[in-house]
Amino acid sequence: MAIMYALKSSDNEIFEVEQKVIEQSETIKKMIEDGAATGEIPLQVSSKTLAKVLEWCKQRQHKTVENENDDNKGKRKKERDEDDDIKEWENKFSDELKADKDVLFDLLLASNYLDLPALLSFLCQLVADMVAGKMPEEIRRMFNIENDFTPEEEKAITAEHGWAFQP
Amino acid sequence: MSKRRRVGDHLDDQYLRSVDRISNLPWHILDDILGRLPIKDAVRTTILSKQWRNKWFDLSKLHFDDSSLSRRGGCKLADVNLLVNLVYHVLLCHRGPIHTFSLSTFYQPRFSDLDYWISFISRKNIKELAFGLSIGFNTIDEYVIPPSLFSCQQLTHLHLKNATLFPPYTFPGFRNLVSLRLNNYTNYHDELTNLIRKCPVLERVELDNFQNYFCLKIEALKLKYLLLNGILGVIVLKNCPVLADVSMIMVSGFFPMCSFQRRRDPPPFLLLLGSSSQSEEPYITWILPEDSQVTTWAPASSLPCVKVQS
Repeated sequence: MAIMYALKSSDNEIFEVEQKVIEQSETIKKMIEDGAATGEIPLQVSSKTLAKVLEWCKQRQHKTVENENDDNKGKRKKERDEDDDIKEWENKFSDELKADKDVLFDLLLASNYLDLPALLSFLCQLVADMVAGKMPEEIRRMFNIENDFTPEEEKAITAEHGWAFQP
Repeated sequence: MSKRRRVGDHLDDQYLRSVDRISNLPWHILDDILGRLPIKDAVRTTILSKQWRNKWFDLSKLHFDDSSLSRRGGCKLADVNLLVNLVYHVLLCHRGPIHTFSLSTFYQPRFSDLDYWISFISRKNIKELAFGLSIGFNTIDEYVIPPSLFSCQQLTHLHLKNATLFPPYTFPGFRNLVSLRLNNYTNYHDELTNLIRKCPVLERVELDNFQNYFCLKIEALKLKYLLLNGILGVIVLKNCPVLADVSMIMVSGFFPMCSFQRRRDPPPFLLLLGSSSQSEEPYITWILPEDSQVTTWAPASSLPCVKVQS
């Protein structure tokens, strides 16, 4: 019988989760070990974000368990299929986040707060891929960054780092 | 302005409503994001807004490769100057620690420039260093890593291509080195044996395009993964109690002999590989689980792929 924990989001929604799933979070693991987590575990994360976090954790947990149960024989083929499944799942997950950047940034901050290195790394790579090769105007537009330079300032900076602005 | 944005025009309202979240992310997250970009993209963020003006000065990870150069007209020899200038430009602007520095280039900067860079980053708390150089078209000398690197006790990853290492006699070892990868390294003497012996937490050793003209003894208590590819000569694995995965790829008809010796047990494993006379390269993977009790003898030429498991 799996040990369950109740997580409470900042907007007071309760999520019942298996210990193994939430222990991926170093922050929660530490709370459990310290004995601070009797009853509900209060988290400074909204229910919308927490649901997304748990979606990720469950997918990861699923993968880890299956790998442990595998013996080496015939693993390669199965592993490849699984890798494809995971890739597909991750692509879908990424697309959702790209479409709603507020969720993306909430999730980034949550993965930082909950100390989920794998998720943090995944999201950082996602944002990096969104930025890579783009020109400044595109990046500003994508992330709603206000350009507060005067045209003269902008020209001076471009000249200063000329090589970085060449196509 | 640009025509390709027209697709997203209907989203403008949404953009106006939403706030700038990325600029206010905690620095270590932004550093992580920017550290995954080629240096050119990272530097270009300087123009996004005043808040971004100096962010890249603090980047803890710097990656240089030829994509930083302009693409016009393909690779030219003269472009090496552009590459060298931009590395200096970034290093001179930089402030704070540099945990990761990677350089991968088709060009060959002057050895004196490479020396300056390594000497500079050696004082920046470097943890991961990757230097991928090309074989010179203007020199036959090999680049020798300057002594300053051997003082970097924080170093966890050292990956070199077409560069060689001569640790000084007084070298205390890299106490934190986890991964050592050498590409196109020629072993004439016992430098590599000594280097590996002096890295107590080494887990991965990858010797790609390796030319071994001396007996290489690998003694590493924490070693888990070993890749050997090239002219292997005589390699002795000794005191590697947690070694789990060995990949060997040989390229020519030598008589490589490997003996595997555990610390506690009498030698449970001795593999003597015969010559490979066929033109096809033999590909051999050893997988040695923790308690394997295997003794085998096989001529490499007859076994294109050998997997030994308990």
